[in-house]
Amino acid sequence: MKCERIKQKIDELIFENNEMFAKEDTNHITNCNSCRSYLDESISANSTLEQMKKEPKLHNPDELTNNILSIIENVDQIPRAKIKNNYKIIRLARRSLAVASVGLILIFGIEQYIVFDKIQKLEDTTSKIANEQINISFQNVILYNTGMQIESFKEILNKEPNKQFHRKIKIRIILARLSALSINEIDNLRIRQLRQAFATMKSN
Amino acid sequence: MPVEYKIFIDKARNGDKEAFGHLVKAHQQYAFNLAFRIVCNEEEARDVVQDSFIKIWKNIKLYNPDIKFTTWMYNIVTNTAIDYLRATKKVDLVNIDDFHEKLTKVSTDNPETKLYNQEIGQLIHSISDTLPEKQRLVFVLRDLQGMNSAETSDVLDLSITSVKSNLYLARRVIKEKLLKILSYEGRTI
Repeated sequence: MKCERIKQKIDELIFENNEMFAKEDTNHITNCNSCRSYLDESISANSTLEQMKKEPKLHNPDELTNNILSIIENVDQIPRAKIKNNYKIIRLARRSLAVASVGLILIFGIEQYIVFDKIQKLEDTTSKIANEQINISFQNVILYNTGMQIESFKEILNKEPNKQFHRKIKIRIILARLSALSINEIDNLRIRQLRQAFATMKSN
Repeated sequence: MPVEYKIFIDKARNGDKEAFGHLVKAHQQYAFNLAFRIVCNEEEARDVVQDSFIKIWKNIKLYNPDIKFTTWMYNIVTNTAIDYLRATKKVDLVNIDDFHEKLTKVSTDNPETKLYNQEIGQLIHSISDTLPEKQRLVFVLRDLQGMNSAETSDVLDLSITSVKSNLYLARRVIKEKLLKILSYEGRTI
């Protein structure tokens, strides 16, 4: 375990020349053949690395400078305004895209919410009608539209519309419920009219 | 950065070519060192330095004085050198036994000779050529150019964590290669 730690330190020594050994590490290296030979190898490896670190010599620096200066004689600098404008355009495009994305998400989100909300309300209303036991008009409408008795109709209504058949029948049922709702309304209207007629007759 | 360099930069931003010449003279050796350690060839490194300074001249108005000029310059030199390597697509994988002779030591200590650069270039190329691009750049900047992790991350647009992890991986490969060479030397002696 100690050898592993020492070798790790030696590895660091190859690249970081400022790495220092504690006295106990030095003692260990002196007495451990494996670590000692690892250190010897690493020192040699370090000398190769030092060769790599040698600074390359730039020959004829003046020639290079003159070459660069002669080339830039014919090269224009990119104007600051152009750079700034390009940045402005890019920034504006990015922001516009971000705003458009948020807008689209909101529009579709709200639309989805409205659709779901409408469906929910419709379901609630139709369910209320379905629960009215004594509703002859409703029963008749169901019978007329679906050819079913009220009990079978309720059974189907309570099932999840996971199959195409159920979906189709549910649409028809919803239509039936709406018809029933309208008929009830018309019935109420007629009853009111009759009451008024009776009241008028009595008063006369 | 010395004050006179700031003045030269300001003047160069206003199109003063003479001031830019001073900047080139002051920085071309550093740029050359970096370019050479990436492309490992003197002539190619000169081309990279030349192209880099032309890019610097073109874009000097884009330079943000809040960051060090040398950091910006190193970034341009590194990218130019990498573009150069990609364009030339040098595939020069060398067998450890074959390149041993090139690696032992730089035979001349006289930097004035062409051989001096050539040998250093071959040495760097042979040791670091198989590294992935990112690891190689981190190794060159950290261990050969002597930059710290923060400077390296600025030049390469990498996070400090990424610099450290790439450096760790690069060093592991380099160390293995160096030890392999030494064991080869042990066999041949």
